[in-house]
Amino acid sequence: MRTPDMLDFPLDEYTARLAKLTGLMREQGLDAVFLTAAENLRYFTGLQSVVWPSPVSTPGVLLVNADGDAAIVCSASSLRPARATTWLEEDRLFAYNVPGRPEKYEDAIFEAFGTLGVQRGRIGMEYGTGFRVNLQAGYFFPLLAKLEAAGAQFADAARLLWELRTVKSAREIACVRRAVQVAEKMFDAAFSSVVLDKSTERDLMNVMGATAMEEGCEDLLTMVVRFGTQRLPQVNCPSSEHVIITNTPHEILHLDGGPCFGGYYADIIRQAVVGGLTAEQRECEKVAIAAVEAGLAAVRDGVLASEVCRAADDVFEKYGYGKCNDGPGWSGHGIGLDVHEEPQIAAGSDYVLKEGMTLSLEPGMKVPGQGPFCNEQNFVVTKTGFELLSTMPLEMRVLK
Amino acid sequence: MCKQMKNAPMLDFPVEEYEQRHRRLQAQLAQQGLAGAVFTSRYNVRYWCGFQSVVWVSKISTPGILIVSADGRKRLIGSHSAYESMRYTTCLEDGELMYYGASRDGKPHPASYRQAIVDTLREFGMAGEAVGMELGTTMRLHINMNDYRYVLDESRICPRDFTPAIWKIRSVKSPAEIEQLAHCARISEKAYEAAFSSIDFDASTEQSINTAYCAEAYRLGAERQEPMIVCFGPGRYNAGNCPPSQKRVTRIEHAVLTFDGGPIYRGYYSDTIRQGVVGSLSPRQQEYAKMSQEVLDYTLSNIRAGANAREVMAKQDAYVDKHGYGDVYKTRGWTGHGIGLEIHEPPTISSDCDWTLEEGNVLAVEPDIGDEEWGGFAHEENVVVTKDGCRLLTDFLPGVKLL
Repeated sequence: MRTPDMLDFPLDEYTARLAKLTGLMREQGLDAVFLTAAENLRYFTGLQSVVWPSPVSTPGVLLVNADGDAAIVCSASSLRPARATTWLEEDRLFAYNVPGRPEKYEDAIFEAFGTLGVQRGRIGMEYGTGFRVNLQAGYFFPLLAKLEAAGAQFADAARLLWELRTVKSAREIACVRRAVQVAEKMFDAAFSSVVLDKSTERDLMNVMGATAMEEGCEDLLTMVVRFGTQRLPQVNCPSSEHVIITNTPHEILHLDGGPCFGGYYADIIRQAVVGGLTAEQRECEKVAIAAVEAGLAAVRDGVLASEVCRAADDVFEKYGYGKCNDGPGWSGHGIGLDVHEEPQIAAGSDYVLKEGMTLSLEPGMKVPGQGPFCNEQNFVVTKTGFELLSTMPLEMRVLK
Repeated sequence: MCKQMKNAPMLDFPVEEYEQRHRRLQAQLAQQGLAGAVFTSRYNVRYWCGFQSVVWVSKISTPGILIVSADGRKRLIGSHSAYESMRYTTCLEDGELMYYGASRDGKPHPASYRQAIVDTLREFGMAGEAVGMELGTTMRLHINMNDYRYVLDESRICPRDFTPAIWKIRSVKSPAEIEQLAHCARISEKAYEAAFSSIDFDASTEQSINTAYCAEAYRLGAERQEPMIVCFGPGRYNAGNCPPSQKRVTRIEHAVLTFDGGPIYRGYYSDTIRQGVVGSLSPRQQEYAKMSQEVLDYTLSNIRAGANAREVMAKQDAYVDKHGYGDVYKTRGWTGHGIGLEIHEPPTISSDCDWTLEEGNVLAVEPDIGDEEWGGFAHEENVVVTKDGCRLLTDFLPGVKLL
């Protein structure tokens, strides 16, 4: 194993991950896993590339066998970032369409399966919840056909991969912690930048983007910035260039999202209100805060994720806001290299929370005539409870 | 007969733009004898109906799949939480939107995403038929593989690679799209200025320079900004598609700083290369920079509607060889790509791209002359193909900055 300067973490981080991976593979009778998601490539090898967004790019696929032998197969031009950012030795970085190697990508990948002795093996794939196969169909399906013809079988490795990725190491937690700190700086900057009757939702996104970059983040989510009653319903909508944050008393500004620091995301929600909350709005705010706090109070190693969801949902019911619950049965999600990870804090989840998981909890409600009331917290599960990462106050800031 | 499209508060373009895109889509479906098309990628879904969402990056969320039948029916399928965003950002009528899961309106809704897709395919008469999808090697399917398999098994559609048709349509940019591309290029130029201004020898790093660029791009109104390539000095000349590192920018005479990439504005990319050299260019570097500029000028002079991409490439290769720079020519056989909603789009200016350029194609052309010792000298500019030539989207061709 090599240690290039740009490798995200010291080598022992990767050897530990690989040891867990191969242990689980052996337990589950898998001969290899075949990985295509950028996040999985980075998690197991450190691979970074700027061309993941390109629809034609082939920055790399990763094959790891049950003995821990690993290979990346990629385009010739992607060998360079593979050398610069991963621990793999030169003899395990395979290009296609270069002298001595197959012309076609799928053939080069198939050859790598051979090098690792698993062309006839039982291969774990990114088929299940929380994954998409990131390899273009024109390479992927011919590859599957070749492997099937050689005697390979395929199994869903999603659960196995989540067993690894859901529990974060101390170094990973440090990255999420930093990302959350930056998220709070971003939100602070956004709220502080508001000039009523002038600033647009998009202006706030731009302030947050600049802040995230200046705080050393490599990327950030497209932020949700929604202001006012007209924008209340459009969940997951990006900021609008046209919507101005007007000096309309009691209208609420809703911010949701976070940056990506060292590959790790934060995802928080905070809100602000023009002028101040009405008495009814203040009641709603209290209920929403109570919901997230009740959810957090249920958190500890060993508890079902669904229990945490129920604890939050119960608060809305208890105060008579059951019908206003934004997401009954779904209150949050894991967070890490992906913004949405297992376990989901959802009624249908069978995951048990474990020490070291980093999660977001975002119970919220929409109250007709009053507005949205939601906070999203990020936290780490501990043996006896949780460590809150997002310590910014939950009460709405007042915009004047 | 297409349903009337509607304007929406966040729709990127006037409705006529989408109507035109759908006319071209229908023509391609008819030409290929397909019963319809299924679009899963964020770019195709935005292109054909304007849909915007923050959860495209999620591997769990189901932002939206757009199904269009050969008889003009359309449906955008997503989760209930996406429904109001669909109404706010797309040109589709309410009747063309579908959510799955618990019903909120007293009507039955498909239980799951995959079921909603299957139900729609059946309803649109596409079940069991040949259907265009994002197969091939130039697009990625944005769907969970288990869901994809379920959809194929239950609907029995025969998926066909529709990407050549998609690219044929998307490669010809409308004046409105070109306006966004030009605006994006202008943001990029100003962001470069900020990045170069931020350079402080011994203090700046590749990352800090990237930060200065990206932060400025956001301040100037970029919608998104992906990491740039920023490479400084010997040792990083061969870094390729590597993100910026913590390498410091120091006073190494003749060291080259290369910037490659651009922001995204209203969904559209810019992709340019700008370079700086510490102190002065060495005689050899001056030759490389001059040649690189000449090669770009020469290639741009060969670009016009009707020109063949492969032939443009061949001419460039021959030009470089004729002038004796064949040994230090880094972009032989591949020297550019289309650009639009995605960073790399067909056509490529490459020896394997047999494509007749059309008015409205937008290209990023990036010839590169250099070596390991002195670095590569590359200019990348974005141009629109016109009837008689091409037009720069950036206002000027700067030389190499002296740092």
